[in-house]
Amino acid sequence: MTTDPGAGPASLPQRSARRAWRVTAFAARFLVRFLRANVAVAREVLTPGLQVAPAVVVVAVHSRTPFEVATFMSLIALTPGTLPIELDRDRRLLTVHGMHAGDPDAFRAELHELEDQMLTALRPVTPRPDDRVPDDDRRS
Amino acid sequence: MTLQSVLGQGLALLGVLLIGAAGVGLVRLPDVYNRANAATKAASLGLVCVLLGVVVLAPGVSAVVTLLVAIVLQLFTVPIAGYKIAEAAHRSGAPLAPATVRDERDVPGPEDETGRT
Amino acid sequence: MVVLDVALAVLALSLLVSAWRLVTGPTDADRALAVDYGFVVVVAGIALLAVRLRTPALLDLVLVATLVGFLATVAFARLVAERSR
Repeated sequence: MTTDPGAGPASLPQRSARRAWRVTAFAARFLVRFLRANVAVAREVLTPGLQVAPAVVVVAVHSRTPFEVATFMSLIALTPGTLPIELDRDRRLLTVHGMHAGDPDAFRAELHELEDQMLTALRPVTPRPDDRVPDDDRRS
Repeated sequence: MTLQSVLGQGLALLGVLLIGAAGVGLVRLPDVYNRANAATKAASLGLVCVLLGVVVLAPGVSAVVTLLVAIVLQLFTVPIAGYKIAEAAHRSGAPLAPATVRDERDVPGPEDETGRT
Repeated sequence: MVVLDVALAVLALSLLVSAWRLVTGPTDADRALAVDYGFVVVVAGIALLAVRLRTPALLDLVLVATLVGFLATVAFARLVAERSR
């Protein structure tokens, strides 16, 4: 985002406004992605001849807290053409089924991109960027 | 025909067509995972469109509030239902379509028996 | 109201599709999916009937049915996952 110059020292109202802007921008971006995926799946189903190239990939999850993981999985499950299949017990590896994943590595990169955008939007704006990563509270 | 009825009926028709497309997908797509993609998402987006159309058409505040609550509820529950179905398919060993490009899933082994979610 | 009649006809066909998948579905997960889809179709049908028959009371049914349909789907999915062990 060009209008969002990372997290620097800022007052609380400024940080709140920046966070609200990030969440809104991410929501808009996801809406576009969601509608585009809907059209793709509808066209796939309604035109004659199947061109599905399904693949099952395992994605290393960057999300840390249960809330982040749950949001990420909901976003994947809400987008047509992608479907979370299984999350391992440590919440580290997510198995995802993609409908149009002719290139599985590109598909995985796309999921990582979505997750990073989501984390940028969800995590609080802090003076130091390292403070943004929440504690890992999973069982180890 | 008022603008209200045109808009409402248009949304309802769009939603129903999406639900119909999901039905076609349910018949045509090759395996459970692809069908889950079509059936859960397209159908629920269609349902949201239908409900929005009814919001436009329905008289009264209480009807509109009820429908808006139903729409929000729908948007929050759909991903969970879709994930649970896909997970059930995976755990019950549903086969992938032959067209599948790559399969990285690990077949559920004995260690999964203890890790119930 | 012709539009709504056409829409209801499409929904009726969709319900047939759901029933067909319920009967033939090669795996149990397919059947759970068919039930979920059928529920969505029924809820959409109720919402349209509320307008068609001018009975706003049916809209409360829509709200309850979305919730119950979700719970039914999750329960069904659990059943499929556990029975296969």
